[in-house]
Amino acid sequence: MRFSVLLLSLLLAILTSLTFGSALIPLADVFAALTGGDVTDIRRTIVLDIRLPRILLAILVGGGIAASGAAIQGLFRNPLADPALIGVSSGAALCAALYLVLGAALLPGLTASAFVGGLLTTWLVLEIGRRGGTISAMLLAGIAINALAIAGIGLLSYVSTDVQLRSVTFWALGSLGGADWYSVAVASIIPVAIMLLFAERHKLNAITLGDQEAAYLGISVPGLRIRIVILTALAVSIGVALTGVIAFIGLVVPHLVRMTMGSTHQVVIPASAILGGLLLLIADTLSRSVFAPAEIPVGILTALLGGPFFILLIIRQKGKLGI
Amino acid sequence: MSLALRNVSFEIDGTYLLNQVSVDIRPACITALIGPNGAGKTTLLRTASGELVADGVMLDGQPISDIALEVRAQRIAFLTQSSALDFPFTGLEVMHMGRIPHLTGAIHDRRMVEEVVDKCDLGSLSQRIYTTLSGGEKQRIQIGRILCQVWDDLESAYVLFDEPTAALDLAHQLTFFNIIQMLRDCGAAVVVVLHDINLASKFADQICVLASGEVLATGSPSEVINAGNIGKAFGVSIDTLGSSERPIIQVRTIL
Repeated sequence: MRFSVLLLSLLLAILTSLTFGSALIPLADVFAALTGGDVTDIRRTIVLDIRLPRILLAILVGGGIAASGAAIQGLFRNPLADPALIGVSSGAALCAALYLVLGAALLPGLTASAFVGGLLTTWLVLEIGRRGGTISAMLLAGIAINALAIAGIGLLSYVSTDVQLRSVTFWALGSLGGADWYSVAVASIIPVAIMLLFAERHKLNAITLGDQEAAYLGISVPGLRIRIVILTALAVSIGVALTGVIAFIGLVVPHLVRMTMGSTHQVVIPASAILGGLLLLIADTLSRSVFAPAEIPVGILTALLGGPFFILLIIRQKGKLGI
Repeated sequence: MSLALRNVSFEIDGTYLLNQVSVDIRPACITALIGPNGAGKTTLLRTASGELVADGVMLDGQPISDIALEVRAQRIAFLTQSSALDFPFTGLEVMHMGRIPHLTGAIHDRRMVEEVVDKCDLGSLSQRIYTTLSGGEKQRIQIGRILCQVWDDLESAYVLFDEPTAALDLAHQLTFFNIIQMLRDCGAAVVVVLHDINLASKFADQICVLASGEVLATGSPSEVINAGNIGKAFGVSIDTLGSSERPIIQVRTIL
């Protein structure tokens, strides 16, 4: 697999996604809408204000989660690590639940609360990990904080009304249904985070050898750890805040890249970003087309598709994965 | 030029892992560290490399803790006992990681790695996936990575190996010693922790015997390898055989 193949697939997926949905819009009309040509107003609105922002949001969020997954796996030296390990998803989910159930907000609005919640829990994990001193301490801190956040969500679900419970649950399943140009503008910070992660590619390669070995290659490990965690938290918490929790992309995509394109972070970070965006776009297109006009939450779909596929790959490639 | 340890002590929770240790690590010289388990051999290497901070470690007359991490990395390469690499890199990609401290450009880096691959006969491993290699094959790749790190300028390089031969078969052990002799002949300072005293005696220019964090003896193999030193350090009685220049020992009993 090459970058050109990935980019071509992405282009195809974008065109497909612009065409399919609860209303089928012929490709000619899609082009007309994009280029300001002759097309009905309804179709123009569907293409430009409904589908296009949603497509861009899917690519940005999926890319951010997958590139973060690649970086976090490198940092933790564990091909099974996931951005959720640093507490970012559960923290965002807890703050979303606080907002939805009690109306308590760190910042006005669900999205802003969830974003700040993700960053706060990540900071907590980082701080506990720093006191523990090792990368394993941070991993364990992440597990503890995740458990606390889930307990908090459980407690909130317990006291919530049926309607509130439904919105908490639905939010946790992840959906791109709320996409508009404003959310795309917010999500445009994600590519910046991805580029900054890419700038750490050589250091991420070195740290897979071990903290000690990385230091012998001239890398200040504590600083690197903080930078990677903050960039990851940024990319993922924006995504989670805008779309809810989207499972499996951060875990599976870097694997797919390593199996097909190689393991150096020069390749894994950018290829994961593109493939993550591509897969989330495909999943989202399916989620709104298969049972149209109804939508399946895309988080369910990514897990449903990602899980078995991942199992298949593990069985096929045993030994090669390094797990 | 030298890497010198002068009365270096290192303690953790009141236990001295190194106690008033003085060793000169000289260019164009193979220094072997021998001693029983827990003698402080690895601690000595980690202190000498600047990873563990202790007073009295001087690189070219300058305290090593004053030298920036990335500058140190261009001069000192350290092969630790265990690398936890769990990612499916190719052998070649792992060796390229040795070039990370250098800002010499992709073309130069590629040439350095190719030279090391040739020199160490790693061609057959370079395209294999690291996680599928055997312990000894992984070790050979790691040795290659260490060499890539200092290959540009061996004359000012310090290359430290912590028990590099443990996973290697006889032929590859010999290859390893040929490589470090070549490094020495190019002017590099080589330090190697060895468990096999006879290998140390055969290949080292200088042997340093450690026990309980202290240096028992330092000198050429003929000065150091004798029943007294080995008995004191390891608690065994030995017979010495072979040439007086590079003695061979045979263990008799536990003292």
